[in-house]
Amino acid sequence: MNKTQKIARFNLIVILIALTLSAIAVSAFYFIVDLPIRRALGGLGFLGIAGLMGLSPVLFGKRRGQISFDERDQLIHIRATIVAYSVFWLVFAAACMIPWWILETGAKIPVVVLPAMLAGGFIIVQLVQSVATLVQYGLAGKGEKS
Amino acid sequence: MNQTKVESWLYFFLGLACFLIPGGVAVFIAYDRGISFVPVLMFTGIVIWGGLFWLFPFICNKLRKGKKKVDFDERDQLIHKKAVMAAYVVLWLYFVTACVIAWCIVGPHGSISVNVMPLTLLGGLVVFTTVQGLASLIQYGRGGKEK
Repeated sequence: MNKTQKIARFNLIVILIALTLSAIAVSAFYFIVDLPIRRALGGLGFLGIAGLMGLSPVLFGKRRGQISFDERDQLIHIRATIVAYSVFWLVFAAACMIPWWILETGAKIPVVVLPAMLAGGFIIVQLVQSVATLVQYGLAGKGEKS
Repeated sequence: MNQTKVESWLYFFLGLACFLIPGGVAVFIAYDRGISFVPVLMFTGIVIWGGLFWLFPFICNKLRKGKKKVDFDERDQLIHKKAVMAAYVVLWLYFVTACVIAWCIVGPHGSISVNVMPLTLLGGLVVFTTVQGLASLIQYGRGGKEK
């Protein structure tokens, strides 16, 4: 397993942990503690765990005397990024059009929706990019080493 | 000037008009007669089609695979992919900027009109298309070294 695969796997695990803990926290606050939904959504604070993805270049940094990123890795990275942003484009279009369709023309929405969309978009891009990277290398690992 | 470069120029000048005019019509219908399913679907379809229009050369290449003449080789593919990636990076920056500017203007407890959302999307499409066209042109070079 090479450096790119390790980073993708690390990011995927971190995102899945963040999403799972957030879902559990929101469900627990809403159904068990009986908090109103606005306060129960505070459980989304667990998404902050996704910030650990920033550590991946440090954890899987370049080692001396080894080529860790060749032309093939570059092509895989470009493809994975393009797939991730294509999915992001679909989600972005849906996120912008659904409120416009559901609410009346000129209705107001809280501005906090925008940063929430931003955070959601970031998580989607990272999640899809990690999955696309791992799928392209093959889940089994065909001998790539870092 | 090879086919991809010609396509880039066409994409840059005509592509914007092809997507902006129907998109503008959908928005006009929505403002004039109120929001209904038809203009929303029309607008969404145009925007999604516009955002994924970069797949067009790859689809054409697949269809032309049996023919002897090669119009879109590996180098063109790589340039096209890099241009798309650059456009997506700028689109992401545009999205972040739009969110931060709205937040700064109305404050953390404020609210914005829902009409801002489709306009943001339309702006994103324009940014994406423009950057992709420019990135292709820059990568091929201004002088036109290919025939």
